[in-house]
Amino acid sequence: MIPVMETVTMLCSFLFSYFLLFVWLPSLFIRFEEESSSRLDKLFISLTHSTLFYMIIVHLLIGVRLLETITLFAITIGCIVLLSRYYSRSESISRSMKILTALFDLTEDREQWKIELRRLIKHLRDKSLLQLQEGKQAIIKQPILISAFLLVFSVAMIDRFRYSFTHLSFASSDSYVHLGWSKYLSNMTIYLDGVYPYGFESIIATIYDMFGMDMYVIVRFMGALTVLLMMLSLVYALRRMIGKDYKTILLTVFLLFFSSSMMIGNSVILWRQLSALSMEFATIFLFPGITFFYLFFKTNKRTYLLLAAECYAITAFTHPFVAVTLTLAFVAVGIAYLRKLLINKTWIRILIYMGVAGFIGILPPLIGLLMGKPFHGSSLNYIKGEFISNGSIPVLETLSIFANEQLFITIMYICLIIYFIGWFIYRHLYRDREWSVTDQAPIVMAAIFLILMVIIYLSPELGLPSIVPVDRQPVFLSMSAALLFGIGFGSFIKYFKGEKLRSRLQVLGCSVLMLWVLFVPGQKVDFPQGDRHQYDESIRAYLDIKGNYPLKNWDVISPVDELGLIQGYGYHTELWEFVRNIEDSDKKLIEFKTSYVFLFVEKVPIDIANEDIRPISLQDAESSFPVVTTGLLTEFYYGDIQNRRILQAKAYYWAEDYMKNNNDIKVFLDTPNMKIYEIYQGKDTVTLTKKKQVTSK
Amino acid sequence: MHTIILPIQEIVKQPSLESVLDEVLEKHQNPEDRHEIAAILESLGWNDIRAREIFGVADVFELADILWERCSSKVMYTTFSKVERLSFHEMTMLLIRQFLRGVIFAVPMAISVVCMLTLKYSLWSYENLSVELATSIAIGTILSFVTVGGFTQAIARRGFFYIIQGYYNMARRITFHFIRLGFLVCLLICAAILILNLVIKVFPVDMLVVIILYFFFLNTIWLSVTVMYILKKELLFTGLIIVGIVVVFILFSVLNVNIIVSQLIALSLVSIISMILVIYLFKKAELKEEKGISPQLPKMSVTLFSTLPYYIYGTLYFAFLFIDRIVAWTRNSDFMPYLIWFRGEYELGLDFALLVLILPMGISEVVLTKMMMDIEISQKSYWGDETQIMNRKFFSVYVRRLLQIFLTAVISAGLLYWMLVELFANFPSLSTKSLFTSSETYLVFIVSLIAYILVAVALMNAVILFSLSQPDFAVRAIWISLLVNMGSGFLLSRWIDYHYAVFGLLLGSIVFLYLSTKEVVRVLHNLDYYLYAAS
Repeated sequence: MIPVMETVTMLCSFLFSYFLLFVWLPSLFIRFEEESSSRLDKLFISLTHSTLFYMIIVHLLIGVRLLETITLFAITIGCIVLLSRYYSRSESISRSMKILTALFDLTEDREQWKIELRRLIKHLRDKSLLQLQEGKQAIIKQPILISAFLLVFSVAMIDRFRYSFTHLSFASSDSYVHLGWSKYLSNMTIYLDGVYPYGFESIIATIYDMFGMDMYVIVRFMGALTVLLMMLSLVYALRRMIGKDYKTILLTVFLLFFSSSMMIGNSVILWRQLSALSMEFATIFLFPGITFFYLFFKTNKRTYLLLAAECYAITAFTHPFVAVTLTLAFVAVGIAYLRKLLINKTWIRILIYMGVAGFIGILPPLIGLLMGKPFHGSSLNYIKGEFISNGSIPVLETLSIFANEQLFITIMYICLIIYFIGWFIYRHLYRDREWSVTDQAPIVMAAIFLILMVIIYLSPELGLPSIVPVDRQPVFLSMSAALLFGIGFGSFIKYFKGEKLRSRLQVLGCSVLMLWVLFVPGQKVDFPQGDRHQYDESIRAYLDIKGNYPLKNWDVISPVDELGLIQGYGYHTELWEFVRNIEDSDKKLIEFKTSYVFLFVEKVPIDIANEDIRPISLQDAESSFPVVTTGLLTEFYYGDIQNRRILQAKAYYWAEDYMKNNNDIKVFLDTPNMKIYEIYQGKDTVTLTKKKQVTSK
Repeated sequence: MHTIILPIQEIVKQPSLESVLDEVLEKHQNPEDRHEIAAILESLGWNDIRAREIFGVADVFELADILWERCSSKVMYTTFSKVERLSFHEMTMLLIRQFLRGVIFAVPMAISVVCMLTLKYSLWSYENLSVELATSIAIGTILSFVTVGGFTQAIARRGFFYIIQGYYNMARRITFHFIRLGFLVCLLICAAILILNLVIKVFPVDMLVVIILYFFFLNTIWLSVTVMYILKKELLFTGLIIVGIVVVFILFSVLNVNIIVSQLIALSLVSIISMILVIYLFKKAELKEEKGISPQLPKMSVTLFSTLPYYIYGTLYFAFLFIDRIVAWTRNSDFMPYLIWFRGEYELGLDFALLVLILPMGISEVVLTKMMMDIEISQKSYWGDETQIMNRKFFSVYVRRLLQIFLTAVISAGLLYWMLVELFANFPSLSTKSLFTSSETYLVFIVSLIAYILVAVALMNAVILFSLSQPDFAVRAIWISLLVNMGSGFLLSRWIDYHYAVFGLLLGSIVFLYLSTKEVVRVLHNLDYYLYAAS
């Protein structure tokens, strides 16, 4: 059903396109600080610059109605040229002159280019060999640690990519929305369903426009890629804050992505990680944002403040909840570096940077609202609904319940208190300079950040205004808990003198915690079920039709979920409209402007709630056509299982009946869940007559 | 009267100062100073004793002083070696030949149009193609023109240069060198397209194959056409086009072979035959060359450097001609599946408008030949202090020629319009896609017609600049025009509708005409200098 090779090809092309555009290409033209030249630095610095760059460019181009492949390429190439010119401005000979002279040299000395080529190949070979050698040395030095890292990352990735490999459909409903919006955005239609931050959509549209990749492929794998980058962002943050303590980093990553304790026992977090969602995408920049801000205080380099501001702008561009979380994280970092914040009016500089960044991020929705576009309806209702607070439970009781529920966090804070007592004694009794106050900034920052996240998490119970909806809070709470755990564990272990002892303790700690998560029941989060909007067969059929039939010459009759996929390649007719037409006795002809028409019918209609799963019946087909009275049309016809059943049954029995009397229809696909019919009349258009008669092909 | 009678022997032996000076000047026409003259005298066998004996001077240096004075005061005159003016008959024949040469070059285009109207297909087009295939063929064709444009210019420049001098062997070597380079670039572009398409999924594989095959074969054909042009065998190419269309007819209409396959077979056949013919023609031409003359070609870097502006111009020129189509076809409306989506309505308007160039191209050849001959003949009729008169005269000649070309182009446009109106009115069955039924096609046709009138005039300017060896000016003019064409067409097509890209062509043409005229005027105002530089 799902060819592995096809999936692997899709995944590889997506990953290649994404990394090429957002990481590899920018990293060739960005000048990195001396202390920021590791692979992870290059990854996140490039990613931050390029993501914000394309978000701004896409919005600007839409503003002037010029978003398309050519403009994106032209701007990319233009910027690369300007950047390389800027960096090579001190060189005496321009690059174009160098190319010209190289061309002339090439024509004069036929052997020279071979020598140059050989030199280049040798250089590349030596470089790769050196890297291999380094890798080999690292494996020899720490085989268990590296294997464990690979294992944890592989299992986490397999876990997240498994859904993309075993399903053609998306894991959640929001992915369909993002797909649709991205397609409209690519066609320069912004805020179609109301004002909503389109940062995520602009990234999807950029990949689609620049690589000509089907957006379906991008959305199918984007969720899992987001998780990979989130994992790496945690590694990056810890690496920059606690140093090369890879055992601690490994343990933290493992806990964050596998343990229900760290995930606050919420399987929705896992569910969200399987889907292409804007909040998760923005979350990639949460840890890098914190890290850059931390590095700014540590090094006093403006570059890091700029990077932190860029991360802030990205989150503001993409998802307000992440932007709010990052603001709180910045507050935590600011408190940890209070003394530095207050000297030389640093705080003013920070305010200016962050103010501008935030303003850039919220500018497009602001313009949308000023132009009279309404706020995205369901998002607004959702926020309103989620923001209601109970505010009836006393503070201490609330905290006590939380401490009991979130034992992991409670233990961390107990350890933290012990740690700080120990640190205080060490510092003052032994006057050990190694235990300076500034060294404690990361752990202080992480502790404050977690406290703030706990307050947000408990805001409904505490009667405080909830700035992040209740069901999203666990995502950020788990991430802040992971950050504190990593930094805390890393700092705690430094208490112990002697490398061997430290290493043994770390191995012991890692082993115990990992085994605990793996083997203690209830510690691993299970994948939730439900929230299916489409059968895989439906997507299979779409891919086959797209691949084998002339583009823009076919029309698919189906529920709204296929609409986003089909746009750009063919046409889509809503199933409810089609059924209404076949039911309408006044309508004698149903006309389509394409040569081919495909009717998608679910023999077992999809129930999004996963409760009513049974085949359609004649009784359903004989029910009267549901007439929408209130709410969203698509929600009424397809969200309501009974209405969906009626539509599918009517379409199915109509097609079966039509097939008995006409030979211009054939079955394109037939599975236990679905039946797809193909209608072709050998002409440029398809006309369905209500009168039953045999038509010749 | 006292006369000195010298012995015959002495009269013969004793040279005069004049004869000695002549002897010295024979060795070096413009000696640097008196010391050089002394050196030459010594090399001629003069010494102090002989100088003293014959001319009564102290030594050779004194003699050299005397000769230097004489040499310096000697004003040298050279007589005009006027180029013979052609007789009226010769001139008329030459001009008719040039006119036909210019027109013949456009005959294959006319044949293709006629075939499209009657057969509904030609060697590389078909009226009923699917949009995907039409897109592929259009891209392959445009890409071939742009790729090969530079090489055709370089071949024409360098190949002609040697052929005019009778060095057919050198012409062949340099021409085939450029052809090889052309193929290399063509293959590199094919590889680049394939690799790029792996990264950026622009087209599916089947479309890509069609693009590459058409691109490759058309490249081969254009390269061989250029060689036929420099060897003055233009009619041969017309014949080959007819053969190709006959092959397509047999395969497609008689044997019912798929149109793409038929065209590809015909194209490959035409490319192979034309390449073989080119080799044969050069071999034949080489027989005219004197035996034993086989000089070395200049260093390749020198050749490249000198032909680079022509190469750049050729590439930019074809890019200028086709960029508006690319701009129009890339306009994304209603979720376009590919980066480029062929729009027949736009293509049709441009294709018909392009026919307007046939007549001005022929006239342009005549006008230019006449003008350049006049310059060649007349330049030696002016004194050094009469350069301003010469410059003014040729400026006024140029203005007249410019008007001639402009009027020819306008008349050609009027004729074309009238013919097409008549054609579609009287023979509606000729084509399902009439110029006058679609408002888009009609607008594109009218605007591009105006644009091509301007291009025809601008092209004459460019050729004048080439004739005076000032390709850089032509490159500058077309480069800016291309940017204007692309930029304005892009914005208009995006902000209004796709077919408004044609206004980019119009604006680009206006700029091309303006800039090229400005450059020619500048050159003609200093014609003496540029003639000197060109020589």
